[in-house]
Amino acid sequence: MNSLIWKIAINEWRRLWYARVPALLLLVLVALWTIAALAAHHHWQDHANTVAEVTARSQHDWQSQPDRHPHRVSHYGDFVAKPVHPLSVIEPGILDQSGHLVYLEAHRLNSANFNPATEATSLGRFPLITPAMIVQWWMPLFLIMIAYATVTADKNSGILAFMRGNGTPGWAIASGKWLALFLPLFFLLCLQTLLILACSWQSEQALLRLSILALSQVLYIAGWCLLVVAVSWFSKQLHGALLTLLLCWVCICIIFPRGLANLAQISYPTQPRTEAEYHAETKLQAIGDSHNPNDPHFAAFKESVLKKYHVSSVEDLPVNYQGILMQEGERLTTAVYREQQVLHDAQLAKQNESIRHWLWLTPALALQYIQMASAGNDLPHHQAFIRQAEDRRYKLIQYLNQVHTFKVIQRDDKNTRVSADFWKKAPRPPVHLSPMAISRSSILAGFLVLLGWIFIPGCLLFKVSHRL
Amino acid sequence: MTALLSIQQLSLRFAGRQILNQLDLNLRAGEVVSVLGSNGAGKSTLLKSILVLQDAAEQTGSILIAGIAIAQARNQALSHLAYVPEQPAVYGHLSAIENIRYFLSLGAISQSMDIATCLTMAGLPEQSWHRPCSEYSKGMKQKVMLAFALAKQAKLLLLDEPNSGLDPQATEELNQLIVQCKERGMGVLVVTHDVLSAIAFSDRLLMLTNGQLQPVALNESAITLDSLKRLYQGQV
Repeated sequence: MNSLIWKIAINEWRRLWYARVPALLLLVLVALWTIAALAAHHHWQDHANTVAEVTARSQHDWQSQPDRHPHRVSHYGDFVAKPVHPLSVIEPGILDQSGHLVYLEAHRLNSANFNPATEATSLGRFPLITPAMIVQWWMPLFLIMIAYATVTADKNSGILAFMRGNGTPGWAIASGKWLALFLPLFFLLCLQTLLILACSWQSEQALLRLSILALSQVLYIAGWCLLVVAVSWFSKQLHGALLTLLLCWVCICIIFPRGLANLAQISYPTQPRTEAEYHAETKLQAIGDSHNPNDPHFAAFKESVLKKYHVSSVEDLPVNYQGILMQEGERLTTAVYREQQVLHDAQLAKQNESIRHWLWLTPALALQYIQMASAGNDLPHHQAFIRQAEDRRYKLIQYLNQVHTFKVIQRDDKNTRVSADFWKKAPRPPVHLSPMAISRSSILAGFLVLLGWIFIPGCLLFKVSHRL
Repeated sequence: MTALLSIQQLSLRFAGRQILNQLDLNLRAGEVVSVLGSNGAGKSTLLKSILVLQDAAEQTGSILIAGIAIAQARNQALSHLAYVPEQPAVYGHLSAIENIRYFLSLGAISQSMDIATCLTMAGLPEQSWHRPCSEYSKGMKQKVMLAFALAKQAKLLLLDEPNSGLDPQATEELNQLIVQCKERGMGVLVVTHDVLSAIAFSDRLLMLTNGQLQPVALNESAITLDSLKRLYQGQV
């Protein structure tokens, strides 16, 4: 690299060190990051332990079930834990809002799926301090406090005119100042990446996820450094530079993300959980009541079953009619709940789409999208987990209903016990973390915004560095 | 003798106002020229135009420094001059020696004079050479700037209000330094309000009015407040 740029960068470090306060702020930032990393690691470890413990206990309890009636087994339930990537230490995303354990039971798709998961894309999580938040919010704020005067002070003291008048090119001064701000933060980001890599290199898509996360953070911080130098260059007064940069920070990190999330929720509202449950129940009642002998849907269903087995009454069936009825009931309730789920997911997708359209307003939100996707804690990952869990629930319950149909004697239904071997063989496929490709549209949109975020302040700085 | 600084037909418009209007100026080696003028007449702007620190789109005319057209080869041309702005431009966290070494390292300078020698010539006490410049007075900082100009071995020195804010003792020391520069064969262009100092060290005095330079003849003993007022009002 050009030695001029290095010399200017090194002098800028000496100046910041001499001024004490910037060095102190940098130290506070590092301390804050360390606290956030330790707290997030503890939180994640706690979370991972809970998941492991609950999964093991659930597995043990499931396997330990004695001979019993299959319908009791279907209501005994099964826990499924969301697979969590180690990058959740950096960015827990919507994990704390959406939850990580789902209880699977017959007849009902877990209504927790109707949580407004997009809450986590706004400022709902402001009180949390995570390493991702440090990069997204605090690092730019500290950068502004440390460096708002980087060029304005030189301009006011005549040093800029002196340097330019004695032959130092403006681009070299701008690049040197930028490098002086960027390199320490780049070093911190590299350190964070190496630490996470050491902890997570064996996890799924670790390198890919970490590379994308690190690249997005580097672009974001590089853009902020460019903006700080550019604003500092065209500001005539120190307080003008500080106020302009603080205004940019407030807009980019607070107002626009909050505003976009609110606008999306107003434009495409999701039903609250109770309302979604109410709509599902209403639809189910409209379909029919299996306990009502005069219900037209279930009367027709009964007729079709009798016809299929060529018998005239339920008592003559070679299989357990209650089991068949359970299968039909499960099919219907699942269809209704899945329909509700599709509506809910469609609204969330519209909210996300609406936010993505205006993402160029705020690189902070673009970074958050990429960070959440990298850590596997964004909406697409959550929805994929819910789909896997629901698929597992449906297969398991229908398996139990089939056991009920074929292994439970109809005339002594309530007192029949089925061998525990059936529970041990029940289909309980493991739930996997979805590949990163599931969030590709968010990642692409995020990177486009971050590239623009580099380009615009870069052009601005290039233009202003030609004048005093 | 070839002019160290040759300005021909220099015009500059700024914010819709004609600041410099087809201005001509030649300055030879070993000559000190002072430019006087009222506030806002364009004195500092003239220096910035020479250094091409103004918006080039609004500037016309030709400027040669040591025979090199600054518009064509700015860095090469600037390597022959040293510019000292009105405010002493030194970094407070660096010592005098470090400041000069740093600024020399940033310019396109083929060879430079020994910094200690230059500081001695500039009259900066040796015990202060290694102290941070934040502890210096304005006069001391001006000496550091002039020591830089000497170290750079510049042929041409541009000074913007060098005496501004200096006490009589410091002003006198600075005036002597400018004379020393002249004796070393440097060409010096000074923009100043300090008429008495300008008379003391200048070979020529020029008044900048209506964007053009007019020669003025002044005698130190004949200067009165009224004569200065008339001079600045363009009645002399």
